[in-house]
Amino acid sequence: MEIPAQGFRRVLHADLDCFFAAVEELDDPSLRGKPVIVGGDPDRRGVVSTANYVARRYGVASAMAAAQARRLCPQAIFLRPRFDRYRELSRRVMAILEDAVVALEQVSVDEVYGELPPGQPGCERAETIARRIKSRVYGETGLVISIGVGRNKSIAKLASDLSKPDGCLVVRPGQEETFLHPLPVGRLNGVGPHTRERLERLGLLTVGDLAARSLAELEAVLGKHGRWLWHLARGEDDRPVETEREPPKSISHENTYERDIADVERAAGHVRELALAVARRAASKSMIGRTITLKVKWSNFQILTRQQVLAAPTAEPEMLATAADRILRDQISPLLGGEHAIRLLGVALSGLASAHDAARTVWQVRAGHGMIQPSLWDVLAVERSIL
Amino acid sequence: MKLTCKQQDLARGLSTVSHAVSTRSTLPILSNILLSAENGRLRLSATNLEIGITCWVPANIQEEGTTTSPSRLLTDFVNTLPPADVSLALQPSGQSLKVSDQRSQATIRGMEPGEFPTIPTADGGEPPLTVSVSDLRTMIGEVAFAAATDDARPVFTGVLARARDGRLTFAAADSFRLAVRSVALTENGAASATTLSDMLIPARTLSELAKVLPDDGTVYIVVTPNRNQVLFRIGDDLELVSTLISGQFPNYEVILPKSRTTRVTLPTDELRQAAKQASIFARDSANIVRLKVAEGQGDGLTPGAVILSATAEENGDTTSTRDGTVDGPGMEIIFNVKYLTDVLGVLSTSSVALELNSPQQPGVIKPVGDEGSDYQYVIMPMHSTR
Repeated sequence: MEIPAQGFRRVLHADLDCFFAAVEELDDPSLRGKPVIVGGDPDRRGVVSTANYVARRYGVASAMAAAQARRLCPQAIFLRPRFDRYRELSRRVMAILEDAVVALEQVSVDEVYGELPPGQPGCERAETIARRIKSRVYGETGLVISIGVGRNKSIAKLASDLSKPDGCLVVRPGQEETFLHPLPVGRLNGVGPHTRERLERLGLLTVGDLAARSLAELEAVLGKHGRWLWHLARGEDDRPVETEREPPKSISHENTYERDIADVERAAGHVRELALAVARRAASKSMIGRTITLKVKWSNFQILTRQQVLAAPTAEPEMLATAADRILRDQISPLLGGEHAIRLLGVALSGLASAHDAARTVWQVRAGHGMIQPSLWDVLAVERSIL
Repeated sequence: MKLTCKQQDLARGLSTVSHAVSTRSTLPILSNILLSAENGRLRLSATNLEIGITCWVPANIQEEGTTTSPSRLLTDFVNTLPPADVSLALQPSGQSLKVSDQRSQATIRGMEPGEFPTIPTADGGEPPLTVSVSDLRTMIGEVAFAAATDDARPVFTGVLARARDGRLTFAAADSFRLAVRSVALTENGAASATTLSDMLIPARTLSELAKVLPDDGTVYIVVTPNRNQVLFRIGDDLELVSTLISGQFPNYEVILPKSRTTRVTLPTDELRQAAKQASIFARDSANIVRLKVAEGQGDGLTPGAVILSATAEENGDTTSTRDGTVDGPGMEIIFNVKYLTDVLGVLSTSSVALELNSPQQPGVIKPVGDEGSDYQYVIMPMHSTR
């Protein structure tokens, strides 16, 4: 295989084995060799976060109801998660990985993507780098990490998943098809039980089966999602390793209208819808924000944004809608008319904070005694309750 | 500065302005009252920088002049004097004020009047809104209590004042309840069509204003030209100036329920008493009170009723049933009882109506029988976490 001038892309995926359970075994060696389940209370509809390999032998899996896990493995030791301890160890592991890669994207407390220096003649072999990471992680924390390396994120992740436990698998350039094609379709990122069933009905059982079909065929069956899977099956995935995985800086909704809008009342109706959509999304992310921005693209494609800082962060639909409406009427409406018609409207909420950090400003509060006191200003909640 | 005035007038004036004296300020001058002998009257002013109150006291001015005096000392001393003439004289050196009647005298050391903050006037502001003292007092009483007392969201610590189509509307809310009331604006006794842009008046200001309002008369409300302060002028001897809150009050009109499924009407006293009983048991359980509206029987002999129940964790429970006229199907809803007792404490009509749509939607309390009152009080119910 020809080597491009800038070298091969080498993406690494690393995943700590049974992380929560492994930390518990580390801190309490008497747990070793026994089935350990970290998660919620089996008596209170808790869910399994992590089970160690001993417990997994009984069929216990992550995301399973803790009560079911107890039925499968009654002798299991159930532990509540100690997130502070996990975060502490996670930070140490991430620091080790940081030394080895040029870019790091932490997916979760125990899972990370890294971009290795490009593969070129004379460079350090991926396998050597991966082995060094594994031995440093074990030596410095006592934890076991599985590592996969490949040409892109999807191959790297499949490689680390398949190599577990205590794995290390490098899919070399040119070996992608040999690696991917025998795998069952369900292994691909984005193939859940539902999609798998549809693919299997079409006789597509392996990744190779998928890759053998044409793009058009898959798109016809699964639409946009089909296109994504087709590329994955062919070992194509150009998603970058994103160094900054910070919480979103803003939550926004925008819409381009078929007919330009010249009437402020019509614009107001759309602005309200957009603001409510932003509020809905903010609520789903448990975020509140402080600044509301109205974006207007005029029919001549010029863009104008105007913002207002709210008195306090909120995600209450009516507060956001009112603020956006105010910007429209005060700052946009005087410009409307003549050649200035609106082609696109957008509403964004920024200056975001987690709603949990600011309990007093949330759109509902836990009143205690099993009761919730929703905010009067959350008209969406009211609408939801009617539906 | 040298003058004589009646002790009763001076004491009343000092008591009025002392509502604006700052009690804990880092600026010592703010614990003083500004005294000004001018134009045949004694002007008294105090401010805490949020509110400023000025009042004029009839006086016989022998010599015009200005000084400041510590509020507590001056007020407390004047209050001990008998109702007779009192003389105030600024001593030639420093800011020492000699306060005396026929038998007692005191010298009170004050501060340079130049240090006293300027209390803004409304000269050049928008044309005034005119409203009667009694209407304003009712509006404040029925609305201001609903404002938030914590500063988490400054707009909710204010009362929205909106003059539109000849009516002045006050609205105040926190996250869970909203009170709205409007009155007709008058101009020389006639209806006024004045329309002003909205202002957010601190609820605290209105509570202080209510304390200093005379029994009757007319109030002129003016916004300063820079639109960040509002001035209330009552008669020709009292002014209260307040900063306005900047920010956008949410569009409360969307919150006002447009329909109702069930309406129950009953004597205000009865509901107040039932709510009070329930609140005693609810206070240790997050103020949770279950309110059940029960339909009357078709025989016409069994009236409808409102049943309030609350449970005090470990200490028992209470159920209070009060007859009422029920229109619509029965319903059960859960409220924070504080939001009920608050409003029932300020309503003066003999009957109230409670209007409900569903256990999840806001309920509304309205006075019944009050001619012309459009008061609405909206409460968001609680629901279980499920």
